[in-house]
Amino acid sequence: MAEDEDLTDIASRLEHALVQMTDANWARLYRAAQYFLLGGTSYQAPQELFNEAIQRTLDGRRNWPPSEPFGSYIWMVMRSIADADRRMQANAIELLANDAPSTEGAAADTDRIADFGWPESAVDQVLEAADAKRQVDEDLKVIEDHFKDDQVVMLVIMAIEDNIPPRELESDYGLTIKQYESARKKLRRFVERQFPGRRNA
Amino acid sequence: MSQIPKNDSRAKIKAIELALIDDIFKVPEAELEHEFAQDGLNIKDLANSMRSGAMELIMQERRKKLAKARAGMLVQSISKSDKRRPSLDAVKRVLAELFQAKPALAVAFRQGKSQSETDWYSLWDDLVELGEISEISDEN
Repeated sequence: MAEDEDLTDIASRLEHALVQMTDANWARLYRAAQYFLLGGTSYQAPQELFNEAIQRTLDGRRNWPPSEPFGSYIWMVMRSIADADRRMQANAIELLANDAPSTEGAAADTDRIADFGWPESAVDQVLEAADAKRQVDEDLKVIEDHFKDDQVVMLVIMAIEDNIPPRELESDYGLTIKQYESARKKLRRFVERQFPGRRNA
Repeated sequence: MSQIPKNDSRAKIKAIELALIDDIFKVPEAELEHEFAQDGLNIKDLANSMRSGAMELIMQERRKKLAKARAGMLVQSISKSDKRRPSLDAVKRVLAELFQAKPALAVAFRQGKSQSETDWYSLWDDLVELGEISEISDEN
């Protein structure tokens, strides 16, 4: 495509970006989509999630800022779609931000939804349902069970969850950088093989 | 340092997810290819499949937009031609005035006798197009 060609319309911008992607870019994007399916979504395969991100960009439901590189933009959209999908699945009841709880008389909200309706609750808008939570719990358990006898990987998982930097693992637990990186790779490869994406959420 | 509550599985999964994303962008290309091969996946095939799938979505969206634009133009041209036609009585009145002012036009229309409704409207459209009559409504 000529450099001076008009890329202002979203389809042309996408087309241009897609042909620029290297095989390694695609591979990383595929893996990213695969990780986003962890915890169960209604998307059965990484490519399905990627296509959804493309479709939403095309039809204007997602805005791709001109200054944002395609790679970083699209993985953020995939992540956001997967997160929203998980929340949707977790919805027992969906409450909008302006659905303020009733506080009067017999109709007063006395259950878990009572705090909804406040701006700080608007991001979630949902209540967890047992089924969706179970899916997340199950995936986490599969990972933890697999590594239950591997103290190094378990330590790294704990560090990831608690946002502990590698240098602290080294000083507090004697874990070398090499051991740390090897454990992260073990974890990554296990997830990639164990959760290829094709399963029922 | 922020800690995730022990029972928050979703936050834990998300933290793992982000760590994996961070790691995958550091994996060298040759190693990526090797890992994909280990998993029975060919990177080239995968890239082609993802690219062509996305391209197909782009084509679909373009076809949809084109069809929508065509439909819009059709509606616009129909409503435009409807709008510039007043009632038959008004057409006859304006044309009679025009024929008086420009007799040559009346000759071309056989002096306006025994014309069908279609003939009147057809002449009206022609004269509007030629600029002999400006668009009017019944109120004019």
